[in-house]
Amino acid sequence: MSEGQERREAGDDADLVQRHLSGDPDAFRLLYEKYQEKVFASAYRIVGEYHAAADLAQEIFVKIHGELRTFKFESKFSTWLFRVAVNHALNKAAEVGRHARIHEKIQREGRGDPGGTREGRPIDDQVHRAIQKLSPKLRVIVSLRYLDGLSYEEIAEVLEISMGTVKSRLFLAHETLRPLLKEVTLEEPDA
Amino acid sequence: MRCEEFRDRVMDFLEGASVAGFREHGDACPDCADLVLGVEHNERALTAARAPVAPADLWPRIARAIAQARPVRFARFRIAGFAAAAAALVLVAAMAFSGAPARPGPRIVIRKVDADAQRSLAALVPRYEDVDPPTAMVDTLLRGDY
Repeated sequence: MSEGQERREAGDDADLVQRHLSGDPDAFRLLYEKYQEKVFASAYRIVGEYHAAADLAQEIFVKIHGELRTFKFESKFSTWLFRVAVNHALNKAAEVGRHARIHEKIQREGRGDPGGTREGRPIDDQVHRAIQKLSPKLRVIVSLRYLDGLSYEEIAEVLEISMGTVKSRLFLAHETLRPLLKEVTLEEPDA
Repeated sequence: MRCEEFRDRVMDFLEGASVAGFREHGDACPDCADLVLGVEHNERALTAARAPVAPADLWPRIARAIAQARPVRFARFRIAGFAAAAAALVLVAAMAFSGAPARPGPRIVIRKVDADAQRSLAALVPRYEDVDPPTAMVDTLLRGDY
């Protein structure tokens, strides 16, 4: 994303937040539509199970709705949103992890539903299972980097940690993932 | 550059930073070269993988949860208070002007009237024998002819 495009998007978000705070009933829905895919995907990566991720995404948006008045417009709205989402997901990760493991077991035994409406590819499943082997903190950093496409600097801002910590956590995540993703076959990009 | 330093700088290098001596060490050290290839492979796999889409009823669920969780604001309590007070006033006014039969007014009661006072009152207002002495006294005082 170019710098100009990024600035425009940040402006759009701030405008929507202002509209919401002024009582526009549609503004929050527009913010939801813009970020729901990323928030849900992050929740799915962090808690590891479809229905738990849906519950978590719901809680995150309700929390964001409740806390929007505390947004100071000092940072980008997306940074604030990811911070609220990630903190909430981390707080819930341990709680829902147990439930997710039970659900995963049911799925392995072939009695569960696959979850989601997007047709799963082998790579999606392999990567998802590999990410679940990471600690919640490393799942978060991988999710922010490769799913949400944040730079190291943006991740540091979201998680309120130093750039050095971002890099060392990412490296640790890669070290853990290396043997797990070794067998993943990547599709060749279309010519 | 040693392997330890190489590992410390891998993420910088992959982010596009220029790291002096990095390429040279990678060319000379198969383990470190493998490390870079492995991380690059991870990055491609992580970027290519997709998460499932959110359930279609996520927004209705959120909207419902927001509606249920919304606290009643203080201003609403005040408005409700004013409304209740106004309703009470209207009710009282309606009762007052509804044409109900007039009730007798309050009676004046003098609780302690000793015998002497009763006699003096009776003497003072002899022509009011058919009414009780206190009423006669008040009437007399009002007329000013005592």
